[in-house]
Amino acid sequence: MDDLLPDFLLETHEGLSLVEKALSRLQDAPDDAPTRAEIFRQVHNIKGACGFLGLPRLEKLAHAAESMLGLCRDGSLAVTPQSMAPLVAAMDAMRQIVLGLEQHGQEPAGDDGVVIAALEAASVAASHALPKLGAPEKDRPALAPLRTLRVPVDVLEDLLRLMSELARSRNQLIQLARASSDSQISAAVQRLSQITSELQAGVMKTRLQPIGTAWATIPRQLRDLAHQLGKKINLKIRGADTELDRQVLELIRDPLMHMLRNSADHGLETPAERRAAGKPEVGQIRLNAYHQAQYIIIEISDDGRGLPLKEIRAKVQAQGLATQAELARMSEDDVRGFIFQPGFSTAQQITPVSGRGIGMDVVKANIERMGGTIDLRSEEGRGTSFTLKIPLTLAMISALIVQAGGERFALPQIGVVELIRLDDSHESVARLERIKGTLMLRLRDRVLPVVSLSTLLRLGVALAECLERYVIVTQVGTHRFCILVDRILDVENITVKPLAPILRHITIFGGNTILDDGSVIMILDPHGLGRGAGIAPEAFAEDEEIIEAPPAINAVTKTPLLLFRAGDEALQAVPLGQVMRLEDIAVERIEFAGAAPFVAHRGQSMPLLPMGAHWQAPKSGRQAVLVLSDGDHPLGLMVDEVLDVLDDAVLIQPEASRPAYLGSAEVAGRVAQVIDTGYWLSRAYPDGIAGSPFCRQGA
Amino acid sequence: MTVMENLAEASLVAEQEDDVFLIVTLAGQACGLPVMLVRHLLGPQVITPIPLAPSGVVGGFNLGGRIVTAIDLRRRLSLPIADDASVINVIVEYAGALYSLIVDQVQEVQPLQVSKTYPIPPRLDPLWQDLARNIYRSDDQMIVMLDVERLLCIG
Repeated sequence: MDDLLPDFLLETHEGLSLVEKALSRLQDAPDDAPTRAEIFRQVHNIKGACGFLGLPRLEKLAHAAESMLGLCRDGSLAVTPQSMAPLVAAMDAMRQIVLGLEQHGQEPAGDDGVVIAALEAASVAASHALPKLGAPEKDRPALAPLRTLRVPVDVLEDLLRLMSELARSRNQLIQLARASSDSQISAAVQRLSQITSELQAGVMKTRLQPIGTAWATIPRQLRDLAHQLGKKINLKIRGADTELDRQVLELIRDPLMHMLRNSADHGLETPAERRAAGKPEVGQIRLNAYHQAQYIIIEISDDGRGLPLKEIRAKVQAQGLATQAELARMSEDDVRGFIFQPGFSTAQQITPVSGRGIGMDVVKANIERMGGTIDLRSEEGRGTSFTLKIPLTLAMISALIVQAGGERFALPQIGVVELIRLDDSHESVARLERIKGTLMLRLRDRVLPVVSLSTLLRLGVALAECLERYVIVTQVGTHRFCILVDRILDVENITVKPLAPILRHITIFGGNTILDDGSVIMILDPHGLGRGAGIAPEAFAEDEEIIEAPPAINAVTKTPLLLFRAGDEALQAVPLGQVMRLEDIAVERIEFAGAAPFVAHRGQSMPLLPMGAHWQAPKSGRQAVLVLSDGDHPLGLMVDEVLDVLDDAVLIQPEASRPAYLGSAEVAGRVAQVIDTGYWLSRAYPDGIAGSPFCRQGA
Repeated sequence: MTVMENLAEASLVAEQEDDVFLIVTLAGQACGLPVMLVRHLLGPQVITPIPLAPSGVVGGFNLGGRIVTAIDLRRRLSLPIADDASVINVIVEYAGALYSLIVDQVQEVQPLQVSKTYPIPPRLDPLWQDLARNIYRSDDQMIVMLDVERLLCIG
């Protein structure tokens, strides 16, 4: 019997969820015969299994419910919220018993007399009150057999691991095949590569579940809430079949429910208040999910009272989170953002439902922990809407591969605010300074604490000239600090694997992973880094600005970008509109005028400029070239590799940036440095293009 | 791999796999590791160092998509470090994680006869007292039977 219990629990959970869903469908369509029949069938199945497994308490409940449902299926019992109440209570009781079974392996003790009596009373009343409406539905069309299979999660996890390894082996093989001139090998590798990609997509799919599985109980819970709060709520759900990773699904279940509770409790007004405000009595809560690139977007909105700015301001001041003067300078959105602060709640009274101040900060932290973001829009009197943007799978995160003290480390890109390369020139926006032996970075008009990765990790000091030229400005919670590294090598999508137990005490690392080349790399944890460097919240001096304003930004625009790699910069980009075309030229075509390379191009000579500082003419092969032009003069920028074109990249142009760069761009969760084509054109044609439209604006 | 074949054969001989040992050499000293925990034997690997790791932990490497944490048994046992020592990675699985115990050489697999085991002599180095289960006397050598759980107790 014990062998059967896990299967029984799974099936019963599913069965009860299906019943709950069906019951909520009946609310809208009480006469739907197939739905009535389905509820009956599910409860009947549960009852049957109980008898087999020897679960008397559950069996009695299921039996009483089944009797009542039989009448309901035959149409002798009208479906109304009142008539269904005993059934809802019975489902709750059954779920409790199933939970007890799951935890203790046996039915918990308890008495269901009241619930069963209510079920029986409803059955008796129905059989007296109503004549039978028609013959019971005997021959339902046979259901198509379910074409699904239950597979233990471990098996899937194992498959996923092997899949990643296969993909890595494939990548290595591709590298080898590139060096070989045997066309048969390249063809075979090509085929292998394609199959591997398809296989990978297939394996990833097995981890997906429709978000609706997490939403099954929401209509019920909201109905109960509405009842409890004396409000009228209409819930509209869209996109329940949107799929996402089951691990993510588990993690968003609680935050979602919390936010819905908030909407019902704080967001929506009472019917009287709504009438007074000239709104329909029934408040609307909308839940919507859809895919957008590698993210799932979940929107939760209500047409309630909106966030009360005045009350938030008062509360912020009362709690000493900001002064009146500071508040006056803040935008309305910034003020609303305070609801994400720990311990913040504007609810006038604490209700059993919500408002105990353990709220949106926890939600936000949970969402951010899985690499997601949460956005808030609100208008007083009109409603509030939250938008969650969550990666489809936790399996992958984007990380910077950095080098310090000769070793490579991965730094998750979430939290990275800015990448800066230190140089000694005067116009540099950032300067490293020592205050009583402590490193600080003067960045524009503020001073940030600095953590040197090689010092913190006690990596021996290598050659002085290649040391610590890059600063990664990182934000943890509301604190910003800088991580000093030697080089930024790459950006890679990685799967975080937990550390071996004997390494878990090293809090600077959040895990480890295997890179595409098959080597192991340690993953840095920004929280641990901050702590390791003594940059914990309490370490910040009193008079220091704790809540940092975002960096001074000149412009944020959306623009199509061409991504490429060149020199030792991590990831670079150029606005697509400024590239005439891409060329892949044979190295033999490159000619030299003195040391300056050029290529003959439509009867003109086009100068070639290398992006990296240490470019050397390759002996053979091909060279990728971005062709820019100021109108009359073409220029070929030699890059290592052209990666991708992005339609709608967010381009951030800071007030002051490095020469040669326009700013940085957020590209699918990564940061790319966006080159200033005007800079390169002016290097190729020092006196030709002063009035060029490509020159940097506002420099 | 002949050692792996021996593993299979030896495990047939002994009633309990726990009683079958892989004999390895560390700085000339023979040591025994329970075969039950051993998953693979590998040659030298490209190892990524782990900063701030406990002494003896030399780093991690990739084995079929799983990350193995490598422990240099010479360091762990405070034996002299020899740069020219050959390297065999004895991969063991413990508490769901893979570890490599790096040894100089792998000798053979032996079923253990209880009559030939002896308690640890009280004058043995305290570190070794902590890490050894007992001493086994085979026909030609004294083997220190190591306790893998204790070896991995360095977190």
